[in-house]
Amino acid sequence: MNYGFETTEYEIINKEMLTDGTVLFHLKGYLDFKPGQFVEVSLPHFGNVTLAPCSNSSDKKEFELCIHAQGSTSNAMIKLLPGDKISLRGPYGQGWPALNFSNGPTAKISRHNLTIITGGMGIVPLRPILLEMEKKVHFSNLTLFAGFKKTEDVLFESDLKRWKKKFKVHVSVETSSPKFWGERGLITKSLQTGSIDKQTTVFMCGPEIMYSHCIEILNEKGIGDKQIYLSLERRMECGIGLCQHCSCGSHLVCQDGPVFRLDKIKQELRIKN
Amino acid sequence: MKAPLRPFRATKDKTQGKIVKSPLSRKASHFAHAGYEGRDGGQKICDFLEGILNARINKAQLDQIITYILREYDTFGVQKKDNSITFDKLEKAGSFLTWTEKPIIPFKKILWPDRAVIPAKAGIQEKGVDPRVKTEDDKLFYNDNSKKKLSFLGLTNCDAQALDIFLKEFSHTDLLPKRSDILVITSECKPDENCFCTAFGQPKFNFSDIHIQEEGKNFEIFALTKVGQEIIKENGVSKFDKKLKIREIKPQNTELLDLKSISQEISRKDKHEEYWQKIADQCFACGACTAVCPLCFCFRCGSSNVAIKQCNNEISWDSCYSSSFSQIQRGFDFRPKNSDRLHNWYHHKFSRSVEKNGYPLCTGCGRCISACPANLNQKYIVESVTKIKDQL
Ligand code: SF4
Ligand code: SF4
Ligand code: FES
Repeated sequence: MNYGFETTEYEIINKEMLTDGTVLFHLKGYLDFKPGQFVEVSLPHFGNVTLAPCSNSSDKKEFELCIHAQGSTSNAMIKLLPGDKISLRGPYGQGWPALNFSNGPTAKISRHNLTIITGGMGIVPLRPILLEMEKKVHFSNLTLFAGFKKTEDVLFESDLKRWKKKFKVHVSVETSSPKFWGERGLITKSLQTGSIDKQTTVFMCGPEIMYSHCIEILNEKGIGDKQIYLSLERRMECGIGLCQHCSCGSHLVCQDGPVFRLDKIKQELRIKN
Repeated sequence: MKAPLRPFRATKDKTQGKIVKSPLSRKASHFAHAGYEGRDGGQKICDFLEGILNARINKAQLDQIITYILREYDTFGVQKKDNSITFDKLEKAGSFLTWTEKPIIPFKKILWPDRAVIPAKAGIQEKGVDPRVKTEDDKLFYNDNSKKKLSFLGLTNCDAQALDIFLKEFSHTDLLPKRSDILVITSECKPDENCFCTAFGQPKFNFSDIHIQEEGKNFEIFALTKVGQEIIKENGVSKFDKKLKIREIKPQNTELLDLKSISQEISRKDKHEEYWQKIADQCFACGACTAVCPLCFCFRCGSSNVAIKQCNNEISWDSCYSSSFSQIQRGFDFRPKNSDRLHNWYHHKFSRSVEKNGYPLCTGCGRCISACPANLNQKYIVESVTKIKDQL
């Protein structure tokens, strides 16, 4: 029977504390997901949380889930230890659009230009893309703008430092400690000052309030809505297009999203000026 | 007469809808229908008001057929219990209503009780528990434990249509039975003052397997599908009477709804904030309309605490009017105001579904109007969306 809600168990093989309250679980097994898709993780006696896998999607042996403790379920979940099992169902939804890197000549590949903008936990669903691009020998045309609140909140610091060697990486922190290696200020500041190619494709993930400000700047820089893709966060319950919790305008985020091209959902975003 | 102060209020008309028992021309039945038309997979079984087999039968013959169904199927029927109309397990043939009213709680509570456990093998288990262990709570989904096939008796035509659509929405999972696994018998309905099934065009009678209507002391029975035909034949009726026809439904409220412009206007919420706010000002957000609607199916997924060592995934009814419906972590709410949530109800039924499926998630049964403690008239609200400019 296919109830649409079948869960699969995965064993935790490693647990990393990324920041205070943010945990990265390494799980044993292959999860066939596309970057940007999400899974529903169930915790017995608590409930479900919606998470986006954040490891390289081509890894067949293990995958990673990053979780930030916020509610009762996620708070209980970060207490799990290696050896414990996690039940999840998915992956669901549409991920980031595929960039056609396959079999093209080197020149063609390097013409691609990608800009990634993330705010806080927004880096999680984009990490698979970054990990993938990192492996592409001939590709370096990527600019990453990652914003966090405090220095202690910076996620995947070692990844960021490594990516900095290959790509243009701007890590900005609103209130930074004196010795911080990145930039200080809001992400919009580094976006404004940073140079962005007009032909670029933008992948963006973060809180909705960040979207409105960033879109404004991007538009000013001549980047059209059709070049911008963003991931929407909505309440998910079923993940399979039935429960209606995730509806957003005429779309169901769990099925038509969570990644949308901006022009398709601009009307639904609460863009405040 | 002065214009009513609260334009969205239902007018309480005490006169009951009378059914005009006139023979119906074939042409009228082929009236373009803007609502849902097809059966499972869009395959139409019978399009004519004569049925594929029909006959005039007497009470004894009818009882024989119903008794046969009671024996062969797990039967739920619309019936009178303590002076109210309910949809419940049908025990004896005599309780079957040949002239039916709709029960306020529709069939959905039979398909799916208040809290339903997703069977253990699909659910989540704690360490050390055999996932195949079945508990008492496992039997909740109708699909999972019934040996006999299911039959629903005495539905109104609009409810048979709603059942079709409801099961279609869930057809990509095995959570609910398929329409072909349920025998559906409709009876001629008594429309009440809130019914508006003809607002989407004259409804067709191709949602049930058998349709029954009274004719004096006798009954006219129409088989609309092969399954229905077999059952009637099995019980000794095989004559086809060309003159017999299913009578048209004649509710009082007949004004057609222009789904195309309704769908368009509902999706332009930012242009009509004032309109939706005005309605929301009168709505209590009680969710009664969603509880009674045969085509409301929002639910929540959770985890039950049935026993210390075992835990199931369960789903329970939800209402899109509930305040946390679109809330995410940190208390951020995408529909913070009741007007947002109220609009979403209309948007789902009359815009999203029309766009995606070509039909609304409404059959015009009028339950939402009858159930609303604020006396709001949902049909009127939908109708008025296209006339907002004149109104505000
Ligand atoms: S919206 Fe109202 S009239 Fe339409 S099907 Fe639901 S309860 Fe019936
Ligand atoms: S039944 Fe009436 S008052 Fe209650 S939520 Fe529905 S529209 Fe609002
Ligand atoms: S999460 Fe249930 S419909 Fe999208």
